Amino acid sequence: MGHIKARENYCLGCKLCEIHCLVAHSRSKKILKCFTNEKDEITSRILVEDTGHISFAVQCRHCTEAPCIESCISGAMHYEQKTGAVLCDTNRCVGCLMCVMVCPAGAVLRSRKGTVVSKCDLCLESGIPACVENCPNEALYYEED
Amino acid sequence: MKKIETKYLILGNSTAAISCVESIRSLDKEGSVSMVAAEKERAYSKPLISYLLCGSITPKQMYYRPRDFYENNRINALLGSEAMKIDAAHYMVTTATGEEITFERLLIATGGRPILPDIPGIRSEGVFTFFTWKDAENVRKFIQRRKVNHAVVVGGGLIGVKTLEALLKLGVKTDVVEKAPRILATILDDEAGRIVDKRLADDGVEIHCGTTVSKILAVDDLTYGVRLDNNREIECEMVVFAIGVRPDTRLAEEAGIKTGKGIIVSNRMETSFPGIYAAGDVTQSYDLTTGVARNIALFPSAYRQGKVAGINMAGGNMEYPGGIVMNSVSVCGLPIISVGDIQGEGMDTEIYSRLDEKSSIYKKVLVKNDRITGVLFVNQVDRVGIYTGMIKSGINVSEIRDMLLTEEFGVLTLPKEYRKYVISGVGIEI
Repeated sequence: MGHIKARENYCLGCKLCEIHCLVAHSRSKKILKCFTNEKDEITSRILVEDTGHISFAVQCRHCTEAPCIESCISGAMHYEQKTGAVLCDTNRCVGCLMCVMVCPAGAVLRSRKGTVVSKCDLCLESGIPACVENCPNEALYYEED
Repeated sequence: MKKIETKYLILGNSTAAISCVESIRSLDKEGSVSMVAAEKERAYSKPLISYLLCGSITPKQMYYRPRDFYENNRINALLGSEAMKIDAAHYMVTTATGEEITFERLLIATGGRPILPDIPGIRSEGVFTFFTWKDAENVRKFIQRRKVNHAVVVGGGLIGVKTLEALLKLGVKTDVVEKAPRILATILDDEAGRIVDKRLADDGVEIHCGTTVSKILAVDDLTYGVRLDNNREIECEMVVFAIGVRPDTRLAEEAGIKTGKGIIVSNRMETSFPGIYAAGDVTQSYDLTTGVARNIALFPSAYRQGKVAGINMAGGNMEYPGGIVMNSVSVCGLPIISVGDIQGEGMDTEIYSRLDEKSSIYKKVLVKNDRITGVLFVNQVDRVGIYTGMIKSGINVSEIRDMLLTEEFGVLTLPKEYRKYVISGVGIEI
């Protein structure tokens, strides 16, 4: 498994990563449809922090000793067997927010409805993370371990 | 008597027990593992019983690990067979179903037992505790059979509040009786208490604080109400006691293993008896934020302790420095996260707080000796983990104290060295 990494000096704070993350995790996968029909259902799993002079995109670090997995009461948060990525099975998640309480990067977010959590899945299904693919300045890059 | 020999013996089948087994197997694929637990069910998650009661999850979702967990990890699981005696000198455990099990390494992860007060009428039909899957099942059946309209929950701690939530969802009018001056007394402060009280009042919940139940009112052993110690009476068909849980240390005590506020363990989770370990709600551990030894009965602590015990039992080396009290709970849809010591408001404690009464948002951070010792967030709990991480790692916040509750606060605000650690991921070496 690899990791999404960020160069804070390169980040423009444009938030395109947030938008493409939303689209990649929408049902339609189409930017327009997604914003007209689904915007209340999905949460971006990447978050751009901006202090005014520097900005930086944060998403799940896929820890090898993940506090969110240790704290998950439902068994929803788990290591994907093949890659070791930290994933949340939203069918099992009960929204107790224990993971939100313990993630040191603040990278596990509440879904819009607040009932389940939402986090980076490295876009495992499609191969390349949408945030990396669409970062105009290569501030986000993907590196195999 | 059936004799069994095993390398590892685990007493218990909940969070600490499961994480212990997984850690043992990460180091020792071959050594024989046996497990003894009183409950027949395969491992399920205890905190989920309130979700099950109100139907927000199905029984299938209760299971903490897949069906083939025991088989895949080659565990000889004796479920429904309670351990009766630990013979520490002979490394042997006797079970209620007649097995004599000799072991090389033992884990005691027997958890806790809910407390039932010794008051008149306590054995009446309609009186419950709320701690196991069976309790949830019994409560559910009783509500259906008796068409329960009104219930009283005794105890406004975490279990009490979660029971309250479930009962409200089922349409049962519920009163809460709490001995302390407010509910969730240990995890809320006055301000958060006011917000919570208002929310509960809006939802029609009556809270009776500063009092407790002195008698169950029953006719023909069937509950029709409770009497409080201020002589007030509340009519109800059902009473749920959630006044606390006591660590189940009986076996350890009888075996001569040292106990205090739970089984006393080293930072390798080993008890006073070499080769015998303990983990989870049954133990006494060190509270990192207050420096006091206490029983910390929390899911994440149980998991961590079980893991540390398992690694050491299998010949590895891992330490548990102590735990932090933390809770995430929702009260009538109001999410609350409380981490560390949020009460300790001494002279040397700086308090940073923000209140938005209109939207019931409250945030408070406590700092002592340049370290965060506690945080309490109500109704806007996003990214609280960043603070939790700083508490755990003892990060000096003297340079960033003015930023702690600003909108911009985030990973970028963290001191550079610590930020690197957070970004690289816990457990990942760079």
